[in-house]
Amino acid sequence: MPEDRGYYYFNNGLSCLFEMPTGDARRLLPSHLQPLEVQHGRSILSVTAFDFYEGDGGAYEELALSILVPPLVKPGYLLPKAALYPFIVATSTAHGRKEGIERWKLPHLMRDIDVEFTEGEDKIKVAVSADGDPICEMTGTSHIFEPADLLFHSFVTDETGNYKSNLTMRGTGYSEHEFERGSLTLHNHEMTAGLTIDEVADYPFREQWMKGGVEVFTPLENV
Amino acid sequence: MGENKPETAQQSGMFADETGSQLPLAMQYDYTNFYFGSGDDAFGMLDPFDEWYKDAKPAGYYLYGLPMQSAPTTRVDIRNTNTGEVHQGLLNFASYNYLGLSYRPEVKEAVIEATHLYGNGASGSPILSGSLEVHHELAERVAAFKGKEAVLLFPTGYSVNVGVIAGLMRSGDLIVADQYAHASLVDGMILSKATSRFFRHNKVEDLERKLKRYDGKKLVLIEGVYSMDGDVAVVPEIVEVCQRYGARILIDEAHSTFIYGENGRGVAESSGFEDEIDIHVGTFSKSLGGQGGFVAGSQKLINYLRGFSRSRFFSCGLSPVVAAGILKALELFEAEPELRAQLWKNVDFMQTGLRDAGISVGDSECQVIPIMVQDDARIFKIGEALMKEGIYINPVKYPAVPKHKSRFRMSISAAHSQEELEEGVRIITSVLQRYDICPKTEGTITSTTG
Repeated sequence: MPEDRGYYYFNNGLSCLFEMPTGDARRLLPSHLQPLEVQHGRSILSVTAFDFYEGDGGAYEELALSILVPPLVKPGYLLPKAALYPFIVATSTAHGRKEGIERWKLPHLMRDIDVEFTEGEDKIKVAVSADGDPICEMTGTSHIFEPADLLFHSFVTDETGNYKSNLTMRGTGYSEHEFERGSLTLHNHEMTAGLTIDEVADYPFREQWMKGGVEVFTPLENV
Repeated sequence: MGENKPETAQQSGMFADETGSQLPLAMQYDYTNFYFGSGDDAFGMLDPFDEWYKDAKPAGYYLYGLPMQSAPTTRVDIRNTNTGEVHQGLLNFASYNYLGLSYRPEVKEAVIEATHLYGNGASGSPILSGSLEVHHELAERVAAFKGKEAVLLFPTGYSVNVGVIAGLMRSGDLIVADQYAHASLVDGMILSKATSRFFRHNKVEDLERKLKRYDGKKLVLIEGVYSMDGDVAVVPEIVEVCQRYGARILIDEAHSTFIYGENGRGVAESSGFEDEIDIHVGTFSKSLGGQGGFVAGSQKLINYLRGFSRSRFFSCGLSPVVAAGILKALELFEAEPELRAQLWKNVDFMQTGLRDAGISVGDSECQVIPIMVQDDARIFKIGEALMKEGIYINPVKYPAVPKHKSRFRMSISAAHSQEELEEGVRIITSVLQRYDICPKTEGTITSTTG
């Protein structure tokens, strides 16, 4: 494997998709990206939590809030499952945060978060807070776990330019469904400042849960 | 891993990963992957879509829009575009035609007579030269049937919802629709430029949440019978919430007009809230086996919509030939109440037969029956097996329904005979058992082809 790729191994990765106002999504995105609309005027907030046990950032937990955007499609190249723009990321360790900022240019909350995963037979709950202030609680449920290998485009922007990384999620067990059984509670917090919380759906229209996986980032490329 | 360009001809059309495993594109992607794309070329999605579709069509997508070589009666001849084979005499559970009226001799005669009188098309917009006497007669008859002051005809059911919603609502207004609302309702919302919200299916508490945040003009969109699930709107609760927040209500009764209620006026009638609902939409293509649709309501509403429903006045009028056929079908509907009685008897038989076989039909309580397969990967294979065994029925999968909620959408008609319904239950049960979709029980029927 080329050394310039980033590897992050996790026990659980939960990513749920929620409808949100397109106006908010547009404000959170850089001008070169447009939000997807799942319904008229409704775009997609992705709330993702990982518990990494090993990898380039060491062991840490992470919460990422992203907006789903169109992928970069080129004839002859593989189509990604989806594309996203993480507008704020938070980690439980300074090392994890340094990795995310310096290597992947991801915008971060500049303090540690506490992430508590509670896994049941067919349900997983994630509670995230920082210095005792709650940020969010999210519950996801499972359908059928099957091995998966999924390609995503991840976009970032900073003062040096606009970039894309190919993000691959590979896991021994991946469940995805749209049974609307999960839930989300967002709290007023620095991380959620760009969201009109009352207008974000409190249930996911899609629940994606990966177990025993690895997240692989290719080096950033200019777009 | 990741975005590697295919290197060999053998890889073209396949997803090749680092492990060497290859998965057909048809299984990896669906229509949603080709909706949005970056880049500067408006045709940028055509090549990726084409590559996928070459794989996806023979894998099962060919099952959509197969050419029917006969009238949509209970037995139909279907040409399989994948094999070229013509499947003759398939049991038809795919067409609407809920009352079996589209091919009745009386309807055909009325159509022929109208053809002699009017020719083929209306040859004009309904606000100009495209309103013929038969249109006026049909509108008056439908208004009388619905018990409303007036009716406006549209050339398609789709154009009714688009024209009514966009004709009535403006930027700054609020429209709240059930999340399972038909695409025509959603497109009407978009075209109106009003603020659009969706409430969870039949959850009035969520509807209330959406309504109470907003001051100003409000319109709520529901359907009588939901077209993918066959369940019914909770009209009393919705009316109560809408009245509390001053919201007008539009009910689309495409699948429930001529079916529900003592007089067949729809779910609004059967629930006892006809007068509380402001806008009543219906179609002629389902129960009456024709084409087009209508909106019924107060004379003032219809007068206004006549001037502001762009989808109507910028379309050619409904074909007078079709209008004459609908008029005759309406006459037959009113003269033969036994048609509805037979339909409900058939619905009861089919629902009971499927449920007794352990087949899930969701919350359906009518002639629209979702046969829940919940297996996105195998729905097409099962559809092919059903066709080989003698059943014509439409598979429905993501994104038309949520992921893992794939199903066959069954339509029951009053014209189905008892023998045809029994045969349908037997074959469907046999095929679903073979695919472990429903339990194998002792004494259940085996495949008709052995």
